[in-house]
Amino acid sequence: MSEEKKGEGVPSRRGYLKTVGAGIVGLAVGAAIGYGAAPKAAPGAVTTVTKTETVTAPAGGKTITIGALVCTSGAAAAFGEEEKSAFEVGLDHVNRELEEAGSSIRFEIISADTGTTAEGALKALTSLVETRGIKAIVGPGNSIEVGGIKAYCDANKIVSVAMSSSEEYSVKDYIFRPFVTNKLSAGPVAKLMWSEGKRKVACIYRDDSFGRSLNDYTKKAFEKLGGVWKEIKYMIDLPDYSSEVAALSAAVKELGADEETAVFHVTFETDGLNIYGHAATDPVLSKVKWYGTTDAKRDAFLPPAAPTAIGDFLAKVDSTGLFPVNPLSKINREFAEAYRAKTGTSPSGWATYFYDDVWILCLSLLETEGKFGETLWKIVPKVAERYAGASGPTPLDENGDLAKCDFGVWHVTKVNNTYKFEYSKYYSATTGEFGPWVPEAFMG
Amino acid sequence: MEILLIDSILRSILVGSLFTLIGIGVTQTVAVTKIFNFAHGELVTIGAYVACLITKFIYYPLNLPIAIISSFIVPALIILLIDEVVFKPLTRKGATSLMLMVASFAVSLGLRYSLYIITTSQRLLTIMSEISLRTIYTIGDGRITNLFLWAVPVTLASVLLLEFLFLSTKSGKAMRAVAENVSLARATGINVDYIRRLTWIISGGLAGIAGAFWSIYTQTNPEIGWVILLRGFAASTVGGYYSFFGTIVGGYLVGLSENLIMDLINRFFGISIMYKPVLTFALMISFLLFKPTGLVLEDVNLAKILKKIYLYWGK
Amino acid sequence: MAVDILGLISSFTIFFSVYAILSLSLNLEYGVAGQPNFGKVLFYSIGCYTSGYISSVFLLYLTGHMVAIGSSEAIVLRGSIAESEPLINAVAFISSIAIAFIFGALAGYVASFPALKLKGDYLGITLLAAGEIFRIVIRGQESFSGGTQGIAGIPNPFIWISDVKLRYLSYALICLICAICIYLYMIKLVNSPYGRLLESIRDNEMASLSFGKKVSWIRGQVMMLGSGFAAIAGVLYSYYSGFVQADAFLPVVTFVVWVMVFMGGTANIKGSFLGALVISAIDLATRVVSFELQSKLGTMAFHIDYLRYIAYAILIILILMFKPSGLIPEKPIETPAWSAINEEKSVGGS
Repeated sequence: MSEEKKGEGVPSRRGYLKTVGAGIVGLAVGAAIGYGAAPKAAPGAVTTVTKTETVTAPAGGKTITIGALVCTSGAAAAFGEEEKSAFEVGLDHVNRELEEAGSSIRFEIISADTGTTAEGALKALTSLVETRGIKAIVGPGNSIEVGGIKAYCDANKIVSVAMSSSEEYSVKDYIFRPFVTNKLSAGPVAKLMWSEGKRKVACIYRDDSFGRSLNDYTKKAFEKLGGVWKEIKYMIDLPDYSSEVAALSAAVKELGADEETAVFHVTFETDGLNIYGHAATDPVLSKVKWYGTTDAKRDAFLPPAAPTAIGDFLAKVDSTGLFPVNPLSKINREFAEAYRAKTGTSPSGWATYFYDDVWILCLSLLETEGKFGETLWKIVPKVAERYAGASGPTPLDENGDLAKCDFGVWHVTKVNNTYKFEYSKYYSATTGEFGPWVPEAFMG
Repeated sequence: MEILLIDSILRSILVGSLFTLIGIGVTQTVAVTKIFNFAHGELVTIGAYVACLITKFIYYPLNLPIAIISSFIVPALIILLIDEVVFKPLTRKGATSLMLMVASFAVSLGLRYSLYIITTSQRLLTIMSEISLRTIYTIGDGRITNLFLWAVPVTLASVLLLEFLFLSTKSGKAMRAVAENVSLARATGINVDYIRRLTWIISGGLAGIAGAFWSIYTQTNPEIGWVILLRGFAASTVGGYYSFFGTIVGGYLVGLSENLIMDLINRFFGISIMYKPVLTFALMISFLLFKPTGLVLEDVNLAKILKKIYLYWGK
Repeated sequence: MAVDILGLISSFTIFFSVYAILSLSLNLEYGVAGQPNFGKVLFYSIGCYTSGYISSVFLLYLTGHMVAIGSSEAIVLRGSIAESEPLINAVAFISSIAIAFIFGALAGYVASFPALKLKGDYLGITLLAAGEIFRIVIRGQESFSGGTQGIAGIPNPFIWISDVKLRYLSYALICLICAICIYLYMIKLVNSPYGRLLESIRDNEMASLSFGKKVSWIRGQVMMLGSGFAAIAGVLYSYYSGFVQADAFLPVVTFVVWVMVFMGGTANIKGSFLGALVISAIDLATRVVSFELQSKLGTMAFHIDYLRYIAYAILIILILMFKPSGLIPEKPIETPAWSAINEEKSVGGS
């Protein structure tokens, strides 16, 4: 064998294959090591590759297939994970109840990743509809994706039980959003801040349709009460927000940084953690109380998922916010348990809604006896009206969006090095007032 | 909006250091292997994940040093493997640099989604380092954090080490020779393969370290490298792809543009900070258009500058 | 499992045509004229924004409804007006194509200036950065682009056809016709003296300059054509999805087009078509496989779709490795002499 001078000559096939083989072996070994050595998520949590039983309807039964659009990759990948888990738990529960009741109908979900883009969502949907004949979906989870599929859904009469907070897409169409919209949460948040003595608020929010509209609504509500509002918006998907946090700090200083000043933040997980990290080192920002959105109540923000410095910061600024609750606590508790068993974390506000989305869609399909299209479209609001699930009652308005929502007021506490989200108050949409939190009646 | 001047400057230096680390990797790669490696961002991500995992097992005071070392090694190994399997064979077959660019894009896709698979099955999709930002000193309205005290010296040390490597060692000089003319270098007996591997190790390793630092700054998820990548390219561009010293200046310039310069523009012209990426990219384009060789010529280096300063003082 | 054949054909054709046009335009710029354009998505987005704006101009402003371009009233109004007066919508569609082409060409001309100073990869990075700047700045212009909400409810030109399948089939036909027209035009261009000129500039700029050819002006022309076509692709897509928003126009779109060009073979016009076809087919095939696996295996800890992207990546690398000149290599230009020689060969010369 001649000395292989790896110069201009054509590389020997054997040499190349050897390298590739070595590479694959190396990768496999590395993966196995990583797999074995990786820490388990939480004691008792189910990790490793989990497989739910494949859905097989009993003899003579019917399997109804629904689709799911999940954003498991791209900018909202963390939400995509929650979507997927919540949908699976929802499906499991639906099928389990059908089985226990002796029904011969089962539901099956086939999901497609959207990559958190409008085009990705459209491609995912068209392939689901055209290659598998799926006619109803749960998801997608954010406004951009909803915008991308809207025309197709309306034209092809595909019912989508989704989530998106942008009122701009809120028209009478085939997309239902039994989900707390910004319109619903803005008023109560403003009222909460006012009732706790805050008169000046600096708001830092993400510049997408969710953040913008929430800022606009809350600002209007707060200014109507007589407060002062400063806003700092930041571009989404940037690697670092230290300059934005510095601007926030300057704004808070300008407002006085006193008992009457507060920060309202509209952030998701990644940007939220980056912002918390910077704010934790800022003396001015650590002095005032922080208010957040439903998205601020996530296990990812407290230890053990987050470093203790961030947990301490959140406890120090008494991070407070609203979270949709359900007086019928049993469903919420069951869902939270199942979700925790599956993923090792508590469900966030989003996950709770995704669970309900599956239920609403499946219940509607049971009522239409598996018929899709316009029939289904007419039934969904009726079902949602009578349904009260993990996230609470879901009456829809004429555009198919949530009409009313009650909230629990949570805040971050640190007791003996345990960090928790604890409920302190309850907001009733019917009365528009805050009342005490009665743990027996409500659930967190 | 008022501007916190010292804070702004400190931030610029910190972020600039990280961009410099990434930019050096890009410049080295382009200079020696002629590949615009779009998978470079994934190396940063991998470094960040490695660092986070290490900090979960190993505690203070050894956690950060070991994290840094591991996040140097792992991405370096991975990019070496990828070079053997993808880039080298393609280069041998005569692939143009654009084809290599497209190949590197495919590599970045593969790496990123492999990361997705590994992390989601281990419930580690989003992870935070156990080390968190803490203020150590306060200077005026600025804060020096623990990250600052680690990242800036490590960057400077790496820069000096590399300077030493390029100027004084045989390998370093060989690297420069390969960067200028591969065939000539080979003809003079330089082992081009070895130099290539060394380059990948350096650039991959530095990217990993940048990722380790980045993981303290923010939450780690599979997309962070891809997001930072363009800024790393900007640092390289401003410096001129063939100038090592220029990349350092470029990195800090990008850091400045994202922080201090943007803050100043916001203060005096009222343009929202939201537009800071525009500033960075505009800076990059201006350099490309008006000074395509970059900020600094290839033969300028720290030693020469120090010599000049010394001579000037001697007068 | 009911496969919707007609729907599948429509959506496949539409996606394919859009990407085929993008691929053709990039091949013209890079394969034929040697200018790597890494900002392709910028020109594509011009077509999309134009669609959103022109459609609103015709359907909203000209009919007297002054509503914000991204608002929900706009969505409803656009739809209802398009249904009741399909002619206005058709006019909007056609004008969008024409105006998008013009704006795209203008932008392409401006973008050709950097090409004078920069070569190869530097030009690529410049256009990439320019694309991002454009995206972020336009994103801030709410009255034009709908800002962060985007513009939804751009009505399909065939919305007056009540049968949905027929509607989308007709639209798919239009898209395909556009793609084929552009394809034929390109074939003619490449095989003409102008095409030879472009390739000579690509292969040896010095020589062309020495022959007195105005290289910079010709470069500008090429960018104008390529960018104009890319904008048309944007229009075709926007009227199908009905939605335009800035965050869709990320650099990754440009990369996908590059992959198609390399796949099919650079400088080969037929190859661009083929590249777009192959990538679209692979995309569809991997999705079908993913769905089938989900049905059979149930849910797994990670999403099966991740494997799709990895398969994609491996495939790209394999093709670059073993078929680097693309699936169809560059063919010699069909000059009269070449055709004559070929004829002789086939007729029976020895």
